[in-house]
Amino acid sequence: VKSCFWILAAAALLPIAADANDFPTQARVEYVLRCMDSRGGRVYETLYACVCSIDRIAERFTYDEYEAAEVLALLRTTPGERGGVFRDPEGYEELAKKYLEVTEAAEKSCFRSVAPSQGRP
Amino acid sequence: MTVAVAALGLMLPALTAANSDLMKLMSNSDNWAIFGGDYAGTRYSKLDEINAGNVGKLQPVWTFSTGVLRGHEGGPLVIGDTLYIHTPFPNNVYAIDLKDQSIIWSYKPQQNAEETIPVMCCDTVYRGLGYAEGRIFLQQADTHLVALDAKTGKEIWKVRNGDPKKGETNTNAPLVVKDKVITGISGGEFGVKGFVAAYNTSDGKLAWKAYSVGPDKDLLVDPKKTTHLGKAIGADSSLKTWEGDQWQLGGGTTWGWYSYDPDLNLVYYGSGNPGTWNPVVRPGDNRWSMTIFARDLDTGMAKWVYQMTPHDEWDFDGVNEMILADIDVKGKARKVLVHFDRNGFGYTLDRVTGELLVAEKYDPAVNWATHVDMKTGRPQVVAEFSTDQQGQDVNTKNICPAALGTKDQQPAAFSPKTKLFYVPTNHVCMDYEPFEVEYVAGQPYVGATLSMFPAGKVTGSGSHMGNFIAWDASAGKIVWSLPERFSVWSGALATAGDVVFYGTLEGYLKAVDAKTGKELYKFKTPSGIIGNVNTWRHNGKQYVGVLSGIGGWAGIGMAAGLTGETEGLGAVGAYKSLDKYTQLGGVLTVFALPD
Repeated sequence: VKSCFWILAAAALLPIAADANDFPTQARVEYVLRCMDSRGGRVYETLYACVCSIDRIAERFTYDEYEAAEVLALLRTTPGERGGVFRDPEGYEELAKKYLEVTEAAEKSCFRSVAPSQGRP
Repeated sequence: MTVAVAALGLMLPALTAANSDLMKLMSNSDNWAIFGGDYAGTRYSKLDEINAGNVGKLQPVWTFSTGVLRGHEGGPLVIGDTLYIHTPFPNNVYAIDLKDQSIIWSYKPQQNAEETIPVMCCDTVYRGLGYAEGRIFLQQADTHLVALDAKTGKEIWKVRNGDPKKGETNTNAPLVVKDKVITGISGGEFGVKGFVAAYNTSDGKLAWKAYSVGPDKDLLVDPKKTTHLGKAIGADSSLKTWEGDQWQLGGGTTWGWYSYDPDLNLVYYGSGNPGTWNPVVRPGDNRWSMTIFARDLDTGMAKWVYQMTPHDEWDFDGVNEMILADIDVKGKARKVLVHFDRNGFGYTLDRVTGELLVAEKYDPAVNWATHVDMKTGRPQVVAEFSTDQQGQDVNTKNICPAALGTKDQQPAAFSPKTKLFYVPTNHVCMDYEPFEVEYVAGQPYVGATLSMFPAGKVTGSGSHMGNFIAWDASAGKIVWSLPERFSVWSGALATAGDVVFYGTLEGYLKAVDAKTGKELYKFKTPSGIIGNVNTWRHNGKQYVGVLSGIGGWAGIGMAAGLTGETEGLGAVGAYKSLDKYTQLGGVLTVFALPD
């Protein structure tokens, strides 16, 4: 049962834009700087973890999809009808959730493996 | 009598001077002296250094981080060597020296967040400052209107325009004309009774106040002289269209943009939704909600009104900008007012008389009405999409547009060169279910459940949520249309360089060809753009600036560590001081061509 789960999990991960790796330099640098700032500052430990993190994110998303997911993840929390536009449409919740899952998983695993103690602010 | 004449004699030169100061600043394209670029609200600049041929070489040259989170609407004012920029709540103001981008002064008002923020329906936005005669006018969220010394940032006077305890707040930019500051009120979702107020620029004293609903004396109308499509409105024009005293919670708030015609001395603006979103419980036309007003600047008296959506059933607030232009309509030169309403119709009216000239859909998806009857001005409502006829607790499906409208407040631009209007739009439809709701002061008074989705679900035309269009207001026709993945919530800018600018929710500033719509340039700013693109010239060089910063928060991951609103306040150079600023904070990005 356990191995079956891992095969399924791997299958779910693999087909998603694995080869696109098309994040522009500006997007990667912005992510890494913001990530470092929010994870305890500009030291090599956070640099390595944040670089690892954006690489993992870029494996799971095309940049186009990531951009849309980021907008949805942010705007869906706007109160009232303005937020509704980003909560209601079909597929939007899934995309926003994917953004949260992917970024969290990426940061979690990268910070665990690279910077166990210094990573957290 | 003698005294009166003497007083008049003293007052007149001051009035003229106040008027001409801002008029003079606006006529010099080096400045961006008012939110709409000019009193007509064209958002057009005569500057042409940046043009369709070279805009592709545009570069970001400096940035300013506001240090405040949430949605950043509006844009900077530029007067000579100084740029003035505002933030969302807490509505900080910065004066920036364009010579070296240093901060000359900042003003940080103290506002009661617990009292104010919960009654702001849709994010804590603020759309901009006013300027005249060495004074900056700030309209705070908690309704305080403040006059600041533009040189020092010192407070000159401060008045209260409303009461957040009753659900009254402000998000609009004040309009300064002659010796008056015009402002409105927000709170349509809290049963607030809308009004427009004029305060004296000199001392903040209330000069006049005109409500959108209620008895004639409150409306500032003349039953015999004020007209609706050429006919006198008659006595009790508002009261007769409400059941009992429902007008007391009549909405008709005035949170949009204001424009002004100096020759006619008329101020133009629109009113919002009529109280609760449940139309079943408020029978009647609910006048004068959803209405375009033309008021005399000096007295506030309405010259004409036009109600676009009588008895609203969809939350189609009529507050969007009123752009004043002189164009030919049906072969005749007309002074017109062009308005892209939330209800999906693009209106062209004679702004002198209020005569309705054109009313056509500016998104083909619009389906709640077949057309506007040009004699009565009434939209011909389709029963299938009438939330009133379908009834309370019934989910009326596939109404286009959604409540946010084919366009919300994000202002369009008009180029007198191409004679086209450039309009940021939503391409979104909705299901709408009205329900019974009780009014409690300071509590949401909505009474409808909504679900929104891309218009393509109804029309079968793709999954995009927005379009950026060019519109011919004479013919009432779309000239070109650019699909955008998300709604376009930024204000547009048109220039004599035949370039049109707008921003996207992904954060791109885009420049397109004014004639064809062809994309010429795009650059990704640090956050989504719901601000308006402005342009100015300093030391002979043209700049383009836009605020980015959108509402909401991702909640976990890296965004979780970025909640310190006070960090990096006013940090110049978003990249230079990344360690001091927060990811979601607003940033003004300024562009220019390479030297």
